[in-house]
Order: sequence, then C-alpha cells, then structure tokens
Amino acid sequence: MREIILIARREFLARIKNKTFLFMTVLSPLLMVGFFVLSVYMTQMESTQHRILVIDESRLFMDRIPNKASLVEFEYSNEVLLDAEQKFSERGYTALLWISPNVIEGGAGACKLFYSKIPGYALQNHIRTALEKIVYEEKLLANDIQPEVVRNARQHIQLILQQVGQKGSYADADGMRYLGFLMAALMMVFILMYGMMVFRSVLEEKQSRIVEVILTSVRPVKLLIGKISGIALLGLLQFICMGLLTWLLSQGLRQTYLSQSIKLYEVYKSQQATVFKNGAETDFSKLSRFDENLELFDLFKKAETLAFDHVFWVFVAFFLAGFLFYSAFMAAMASAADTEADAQQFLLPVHLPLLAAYFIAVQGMLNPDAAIVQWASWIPFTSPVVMISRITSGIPLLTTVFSWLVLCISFGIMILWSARIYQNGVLNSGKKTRWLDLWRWTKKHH
Amino acid sequence: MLHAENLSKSYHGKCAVNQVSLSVHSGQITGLLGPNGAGKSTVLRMLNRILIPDSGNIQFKQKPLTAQSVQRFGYLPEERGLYRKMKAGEQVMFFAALKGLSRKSCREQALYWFDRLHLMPLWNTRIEQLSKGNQQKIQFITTVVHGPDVLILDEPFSGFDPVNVEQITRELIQFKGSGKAIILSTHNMENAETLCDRIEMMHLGNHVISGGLSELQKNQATHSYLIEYRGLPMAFANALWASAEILHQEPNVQAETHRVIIRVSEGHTIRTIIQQINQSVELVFFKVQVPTLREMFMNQIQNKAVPYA
Repeated sequence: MREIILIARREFLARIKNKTFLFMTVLSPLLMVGFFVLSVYMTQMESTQHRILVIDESRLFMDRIPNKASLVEFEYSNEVLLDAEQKFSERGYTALLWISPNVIEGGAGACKLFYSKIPGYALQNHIRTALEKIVYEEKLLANDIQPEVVRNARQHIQLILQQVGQKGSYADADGMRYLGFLMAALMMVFILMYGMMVFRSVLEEKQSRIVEVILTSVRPVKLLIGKISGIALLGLLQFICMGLLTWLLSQGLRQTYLSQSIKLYEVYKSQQATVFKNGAETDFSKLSRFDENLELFDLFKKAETLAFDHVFWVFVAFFLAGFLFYSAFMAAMASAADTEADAQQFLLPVHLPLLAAYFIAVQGMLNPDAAIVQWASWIPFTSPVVMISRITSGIPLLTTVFSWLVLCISFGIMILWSARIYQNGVLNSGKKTRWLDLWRWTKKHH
Repeated sequence: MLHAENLSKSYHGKCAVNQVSLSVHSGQITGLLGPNGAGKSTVLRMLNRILIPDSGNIQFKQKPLTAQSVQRFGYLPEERGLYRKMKAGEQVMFFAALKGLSRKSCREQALYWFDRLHLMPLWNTRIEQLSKGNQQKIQFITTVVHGPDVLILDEPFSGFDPVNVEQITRELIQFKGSGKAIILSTHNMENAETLCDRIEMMHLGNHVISGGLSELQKNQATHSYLIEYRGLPMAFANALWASAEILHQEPNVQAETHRVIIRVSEGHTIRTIIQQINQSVELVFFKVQVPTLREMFMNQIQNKAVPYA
C-alpha cells in the first residue's frame, strides 16, 4: 500500500505543479462560459443601425411594428412600391419592407424586404415575429377573441418521467435530453484526456528506462494502480475545480446578465398562478406581458425540473470508474509501444470503442429503449458514455448503480490483465511489438 | 550472500541465458563480463526479480530470493533513466522512499550523498537541466541511497569522465570494505581487472569462465614467456630449436638487446629451454607472461562460439 501511495503522490505532484494544469483548470471554465456568452452575444448583436421604410398596403401594421432599442427604426409611408424601391437607399433607409394587401390570407410573397445593407438574422427574426404576432392577433379579433385571453390561457405542460417505485431519477421528457448528449461528449473527452496522461506517463517511463529501477521495488500491478490513482485524484480535483469555477462564473453571469429576466420570471410564475386560481374572473388588463421572454422562461422551467445534483454525482461516479477502466487499458497499450509512432497504432483499440459509445449515445437520444443502447449501457467499454447520455431520460437508480458496479468489477479484471501486458511490454525495448506478442504476454508470466 | 544456480531464460523460444550459476560474496566485487548479447543484463534482471527465470533458483543469505530481499539491493541498469522534470533532491528521496526508508531517513541519506559527491548546489535543479555526468551521479546516488547489502551495477562507469570514474571507483572500494556484495557488469576490462575479486564470464547466454582473477590467470596460462637477451638472433633461434615457438620479437636498440615472447611446445619445459638459451646468448631478463583479462575475454569470444541451445 505504501508503494501505491508513493507512486500516486509522485504522479499527482508532478502534474499539479505543472503550469499547464493550472492553466487548463482556470482556462477551461472561462472558455466554456466565454463561448456560451459569445455565441449568445453574437446572435443578438446587431451593430448596424437600420432605418426601415414600411409600405403597408394591408393597413394592418401601421405604427404597430415595434422599434428595437435605437438599432432598428421603422417609418411608415403611403408611397407606391416602385417609386420607393428606386429611392429608399438614397433617402437614408437601409431596407424597405413591403406588405401586400392580402397578407392576412398568407402565401408566398405576401411580405418582401428590399435591402441595401444586408439585414442580419436577428433583424429578420424581429420583423418576422412582429408581423406574425400582429396577424395572429388580428385573426383572433376577427373571431371575437381577445388576444389577452389566449395569451394567458397558454400553459406549458411538462411531462415528468418517473418509474414506479424509483426515486431520484426523473426528467423532463423533452427538455434535457440534449444535456445528456452534451455530458456524453464531455465524458468521452475527459476519459480520453486523463487516460492520455496515464498513456504518456507509461510511455515516458518505458522510453527513459526508469521503469526498470522502479520494478525492483514495486510490483507492476501496484505501480499501475499507483499511477492511475494519482492521475484519477488529479482528474477529480481538476474536475471539481473546473465545475466550481464554471458554477461561480455562471452565477456571476446570472447576476449580471440574467437578473432582470429572473425577476420577470418570478412575476410571470405568480401571474400564472393567479390566472390558474381565478380563471375567467382574472382582470387581464392588469397582467404584464412577457411575449419576448417566453422562450427563456421555458428554459428556466426545464432547468428547474432537473435533479442537477443527482446528474452531477452520477457523472463523477461514471467518470471515475470509466477513467480507471480505460486508463488501465491504455497503460497496457502504452507499455507495448516503443516509439511515438508506435503509440498511435496502440491507441486505436482505445479510440474505437469510445467513438462507438458516442454514436450509440446519439442513437440513445432518439430512441433510449433501442436494444443496442441497452447493451451498451452494460458493456464497460461503452457504458460510461452511454449511461451518462441516458441519465437525463429517467433511468432507474438501480439500473445506474448496477451498470456502475459492472464497470468497477471490469476495472479489477482489466488492471490484472493490463499488469501482465505491462510487465512484459515495458522491458521489451528496441523491438517492435506485434499484436500477437500482446496475446502471448497475456498468457505468460514475465 | 547472493547465490544463483542454473538460471535459464528464453524469449519466444530463443535461449538468452542457459544454465548460468554464480555467487556474489560479502566484501567482494564480482565482475560479470561478456560481449553484447551475452545475456548479462538478463541475469542481472533475474537477480533483481524484474524477470522470473524459466528454471533455476536464486538464494539471498541462504533463503529463497523474495521481493522483500530485493529491497536490500541497489540496482543501476545499463540504460539510465530519471524523471526529467523532477528536481534532483526530490528524485533521490522518491527512490529512497520506494526502498522503504522513512521520510526522515530519506532526507538525511540523500543530503549525505549529495554532499559526498559534491552535488549539494544541484539539490533543487531539475534533472533535464543537469549535465550528463551529474545525471549519472544522481543515478548512482539513487542506487546506493538506501544503504543496500548488494549492489548490482550494469556498466557503472559509462558516461563518466576520468575524474568521476576515479570517484565512483573509490566509492565501490569503500562499499567492498564495508562488507557489501557487489556485482559489476562491464565491458571495461581494465576496470574489472583493478576492481574485481571474482570474474564470471558469459558468452552467447552460457557461462564460460568463473573464478578468482589469479586463479583464472593460472588456469588460462598460455605457457608464454618474455625473454630479453643480448646476442645474435640466429643463435637464439637455434637454441630454441623445436622446444618453443617465437610469438613476437623486437630489438631494444638502446640496450642493444632483443625482446622476445615465446610459447613452450608440448613435451618441453622452460627450465631446459633457459639452460639452452644461456649456452648460446646472454640472458638479461625473464618473465612469465600472465594472460590479461582482455586476452582471456578475446580468447573466449574467438574460440568458444557456443550456439544458442
């Protein structure tokens, strides 16, 4: 046990003192949150100012299309389209929106946007949404229905899945499936990233021949366990640090960027409750409108239903077991390699099952009950990735625990197998290892 | 102290070591000699339990060799390796801890050896920043830091300059004096001749020579003699006639003498030959030619090409 601790400690300290570790731990959450903010910002950013001339031949939209905070300004005119089209840009307009008289009946070409400066997606979306909403309200009014009634009658229904007799594993049927998919991808990346640390460490010790001295003091299996546990601890620490930092950053983001939306969401929830309680007697004229925030509120609701702590711990448990299993496998492969070029060949059996697991996880998103998905949840080569992708789809806790136990037992078998390959492989220098040699080493004691 | 008997090891059906036996005694340096591919490193790995022999057994202090007993060994492999990014002091302490020393002893012993080999200023230097010679010294310290009973050294002098060779040699002699058993594998015959009390020579996986140096020299005697004489070479040759063969001769112009190496033919003795020479020329100097380790080594390689079993 002492040797295992010594080896683990060395592996842990050698890496934690490395600047790359610190850099990765801090930079990854910054990058993750940064990319998220940037992508949201980029889609919303419309730096070009637009003055849009509206020729509304239907007379439905006059002065009703909302301007957008000093960036988009609509001006209305009764000119003929042909004249306006020729001159709108000379008169300082960036676009011309023409609405046909029969827009209410719909059909292609009912609305046209002529432009001199190409309008961004956000602007197009703004115009389309505004027009659709006005047409929608007009149609409701044509049928003697007040739009407020309909607006407040809307209720998002969430279908929560929970297996009879199971606790803790429930999920929004549609909402968080993508989260499972994202976690599967993360799981694959993490296993490969930390597995590669073990791979490189074994290869380095073999190439520098230091392993020959270590093996006089430590049995190969203990050396492997020490090495893997040191890196597993490092991975766990880095994972927790990264998680904590991401959480802190997202909290900061929430306070600065989403605080207003969260307040509005609270108002929206209380309004919904009032409408539910009072029904038709509600005074709709006094209710606030949240049309522009409904999509975001939908996301908030979905996030509220997910048991994040459960998902987090399952992720940590499967990451650890999956890493242990794969790193033992990768250590065996590294011991067989003699050069960097060799190493690529021996990484193939590691990459293939992980890639397969990822594709099965994609399949699992569409059909969580497919036989291949079920099987892959039990096979240790694929279970860490596939199980985590299914966790948001309401997997019973017992199934999750059982799959994890199978993975842990498989690690025990893998480390014994790996140690056999390892003790032969690390001493086999200067001679190219063939796949047949691996088979021989599995059977023969060093 | 360490005794191996009939060790054999094969790789993929090819015999690397065949029925090799050797003993390493306390207070002695045993030289394991042989050309490349002789199987020396395989024997050393088996003595360290890095490899398990296919057959044969190894005993340490009259008991079968165990993992625990190997903790009392210090092993310096031929191809050296250290953790390049680790600091020199940390590295030595890590290896000492692996050999079972307490944290306090690790530090004390490491400091002692750094001081002894004049490496103290390099305690906090990363291995990759050290010169090759200093890296070799660090490697040597990692081998001896835990005060082993047996030292197994594979080419311990490679990579050292003459000053460091001298220093390491002194250390080895001191270890020998303190009762350690040392096994030394080397290609450097001069070093082996100076240091070793016993020689074990291997060739193509087989044990070909074993014994003390003087004992071996006696056994391997070639019946050759160095003779210096004053007189005519023709008269000298006639005096020998068929009783001896001249292997080498050269004139010593300054002394107006001739130096000759002769080998006595079968059925003749050096005593009668000397008498014959004395009658024909003036005998100035006479010495028995003792085979050097290098000569014995070369003789074994050239004459005893033992095929793989």
